[in-house]
Amino acid sequence: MLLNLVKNDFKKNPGNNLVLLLFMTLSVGLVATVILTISQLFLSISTMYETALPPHFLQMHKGMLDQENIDEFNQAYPNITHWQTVEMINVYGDELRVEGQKEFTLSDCRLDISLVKQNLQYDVLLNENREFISLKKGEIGVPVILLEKNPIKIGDKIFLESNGIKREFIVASYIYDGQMNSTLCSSTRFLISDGDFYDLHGVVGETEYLLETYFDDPSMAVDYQSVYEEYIPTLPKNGQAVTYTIIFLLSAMTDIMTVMVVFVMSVLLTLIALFCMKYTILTAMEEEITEIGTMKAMGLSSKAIANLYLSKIRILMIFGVIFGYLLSLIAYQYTSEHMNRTFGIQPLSWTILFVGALGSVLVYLVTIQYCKGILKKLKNISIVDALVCGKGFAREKQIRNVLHKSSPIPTTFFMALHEVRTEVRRFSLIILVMALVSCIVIIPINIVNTMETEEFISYMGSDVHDVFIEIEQGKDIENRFENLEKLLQKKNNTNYQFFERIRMMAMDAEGKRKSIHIDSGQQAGQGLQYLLGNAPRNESEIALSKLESEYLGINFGDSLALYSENHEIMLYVCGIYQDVTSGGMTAKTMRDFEGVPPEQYRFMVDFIQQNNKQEIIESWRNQLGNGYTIEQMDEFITEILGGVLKQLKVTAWVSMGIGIGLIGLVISLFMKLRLAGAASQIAIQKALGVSVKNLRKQELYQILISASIGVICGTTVANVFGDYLMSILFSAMELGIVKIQFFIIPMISWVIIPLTLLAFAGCFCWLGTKSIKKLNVLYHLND
Amino acid sequence: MGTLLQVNHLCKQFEGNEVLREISLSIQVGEYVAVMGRSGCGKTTLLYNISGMDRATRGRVFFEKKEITALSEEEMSSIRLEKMGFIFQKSNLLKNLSLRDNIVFPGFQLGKESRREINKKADDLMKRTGISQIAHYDIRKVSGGQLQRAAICRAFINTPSILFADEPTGALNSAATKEIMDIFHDINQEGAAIVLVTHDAKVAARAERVIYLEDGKMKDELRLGKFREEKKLQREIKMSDWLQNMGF
Repeated sequence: MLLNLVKNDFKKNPGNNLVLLLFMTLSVGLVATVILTISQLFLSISTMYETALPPHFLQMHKGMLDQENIDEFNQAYPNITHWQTVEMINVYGDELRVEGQKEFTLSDCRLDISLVKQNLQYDVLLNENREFISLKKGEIGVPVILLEKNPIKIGDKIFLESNGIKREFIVASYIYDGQMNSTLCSSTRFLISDGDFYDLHGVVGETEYLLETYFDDPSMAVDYQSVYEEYIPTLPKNGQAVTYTIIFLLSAMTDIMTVMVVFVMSVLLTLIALFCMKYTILTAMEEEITEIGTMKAMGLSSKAIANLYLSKIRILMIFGVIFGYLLSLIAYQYTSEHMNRTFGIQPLSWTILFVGALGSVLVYLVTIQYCKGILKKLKNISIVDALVCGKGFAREKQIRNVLHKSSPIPTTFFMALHEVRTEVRRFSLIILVMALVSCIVIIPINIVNTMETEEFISYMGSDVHDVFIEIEQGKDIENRFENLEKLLQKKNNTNYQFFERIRMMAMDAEGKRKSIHIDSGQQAGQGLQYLLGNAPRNESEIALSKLESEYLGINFGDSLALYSENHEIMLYVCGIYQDVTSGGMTAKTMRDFEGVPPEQYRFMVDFIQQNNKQEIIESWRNQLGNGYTIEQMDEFITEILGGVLKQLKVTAWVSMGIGIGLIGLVISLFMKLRLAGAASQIAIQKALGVSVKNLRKQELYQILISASIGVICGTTVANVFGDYLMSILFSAMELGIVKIQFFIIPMISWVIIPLTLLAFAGCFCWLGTKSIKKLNVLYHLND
Repeated sequence: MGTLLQVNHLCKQFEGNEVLREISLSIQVGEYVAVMGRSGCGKTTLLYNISGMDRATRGRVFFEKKEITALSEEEMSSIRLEKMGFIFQKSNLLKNLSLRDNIVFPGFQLGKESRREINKKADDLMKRTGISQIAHYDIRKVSGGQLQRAAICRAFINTPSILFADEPTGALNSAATKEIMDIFHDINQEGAAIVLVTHDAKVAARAERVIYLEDGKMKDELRLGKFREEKKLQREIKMSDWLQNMGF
């Protein structure tokens, strides 16, 4: 009997049931996609790491190296399982020319390029199947993260021309690098054969060392780092130091961002599905109030009647779960694309599939529980109310005597406004859905717009300028500095400032000495995003990055002791800023520490006149030659965040599509239910002579009024509070950014998107009101 | 008196069943006509078809010499709003409007007169029908008779030239019925034609002419002349005899 009842209901309301089914499919689909993607992401990274074995602690170093000193230190340090020193040959991008379908150099590559040979067991470079790559002489492996910007194919030729040496390589493989596989890193590694490596070693480029250490537990790397940097000044540390956690987070950031956005969308979509479910169930019960009364009169308990409704929902949900799960398997192909490209192909395991299925079942259980809650209202219906008065669940409404006073408002619009006000509980579905859809659409667009702005760089620990030029440490760093300064002084078209990066020992809150990076210069710390305080204003002040402040245990307002050749310098901590560079651990001061050798110089250049920028930068590149990294700020952002941005842009467009689809589904469902419920009222007006056009306009205005309320609320929440959400996402990643303010393009986020959503709502509503023309007046008047 | 409504060979079929067959009749300006017949004989269908609320299968209907059977739905709506008034067995008021707002609604919708004039007209109508005191009431809080009076006020707000009433007293008690019929009489006296469908011989006896329908056909008509209170009893007896002859 139950099955027959359900079958009949499906025959009676195929459209409504189909919309509900679609909602359930979508919400289950998205939830399962999030679960599949996040589980697969962690599995993918950990599987890759099992073979690639990236270091738990990495110290980059340029210059002289005393391996015995390192060995001695590591032997004495507990819980170390392995350590190794990997040599890299650093070459400049313009020394590598690719010849394939196109011919180009890698001079635009922002990452430092190194040539390496394969390691034996630890920190190995893999192919897309996570297999150890072994290259023959003359072959080269290209890091897969470069492929997005550079069309390099297997079989292409790469020419290295450096220091008078010319070498030809054939691209034999793409490299999946467990350690440097993100554009957020500062370096990337090309693999060459051992033979080629030894041929080139010491002949071209500059040698850089990767001092890699492994522990019983990767978390031990943090303590190791402090001891390494603090107690043994002779240990090599001329370069960045990174721990396993940072390596992991940098690698996974793009995918985590995507998953976060899909997660937020899936939560919002599930909420919408539940609202629609509630609206449909309540409308159905209102319509069937006499039947409910009859069943109660016959002696059926409220629970038995609720079961009738529940069985329909259960059947819908079962199909929703099946279709949604299948949908997630398709959606997963897209969400995992970047992951497969970065970490190699990871087939879906049965365990992950099972976890995804569990997530789908969870949505089923939540929905059923929610519906049970709604159906509890059946208990409150009395037989007399249902059978005699036809009273359902609607609360007594206060009807106001208002129309006759409404002189300036057109009647059709007023009737719509009055209807929304009187039936606000019904229209709350549209208000809520439009508010949620506005969030679904606007937040990802705001995220993309924020990350695309030049100002976003200020969250990453840098001020906004037209161009920045880095001079990395090397034997002739001072000469290169002078050359650059001379060049910039010659040009009247530019303003510039610079700071030098030095490494010093600092005393933490517990009295331990720790090594920290300090950017020193007259403008250091200006233009950053300060969580507390402000940039240094004089030489006795220092600003710390958020992570540095946490690392040292030194807060805003404290004093920080620095040590230079055993002299103690006390500086006042005037501000805490956000930074992701150098693992988020930096400090900024105006003080000049004479005698401390610089690790890097960074020039920030602004053009007075903005024309011919590109040409001027090109001429600088030609005049300065190698040894300088010259970056245009906007291009730099595009490159560093290109992967994340690309993925987020796709997600933003998909969100827009989903949002519009949701509006279509919800409004179609709402209009169907509403026109069925309000048929007699529409028939009365039709009989009185209100034209079909005016009746359709009335419905359109109702939807537009309620949708506008929803869109205004949603847009305000997304634009005003959306950045809190983004801050939480970034904060969770522990990259050094904890507070972000949206950069909103008002025309897009406050005007175009809300109006677009309203326009779609209006169009779907107008289509939904077509049936008014066919409404049988006689049937409904006499019903 | 000229012809207000002319019906020629009107036929209506529902799913193969012929509900109205070759009906031809005319309603004069200011005439009061009652339509009677057994249940299912096609009275209501006739009313809806001659008022343009439903489309006839065959035949033509002229209103003020304009063929309304050839008009578009929009054109027909406009005529209904401006020139026709409707009263149904159920009051069919809009549930989210007060009595007063229900009454002014068609006037505002038409928009030919100022809202002030419409409000004034509504006040007059409510005063005449005795519902001024409850004008601001929610429609769920008033009696059936009061609702029907409000429906009458609504039907007359645009001063129509014809009023179609489908069993307007069907759900009312005898006292309320009498009051409603008195209002109808007054309205008719002011010049509006009335076409009223009823089962009630006493109600029909108020009309000038009574049409009897049987199986969708016009079987006969009875001319009673203008109603006068003092002749009420004779009219009712005459009516009763006629109906008996008709087999009612």
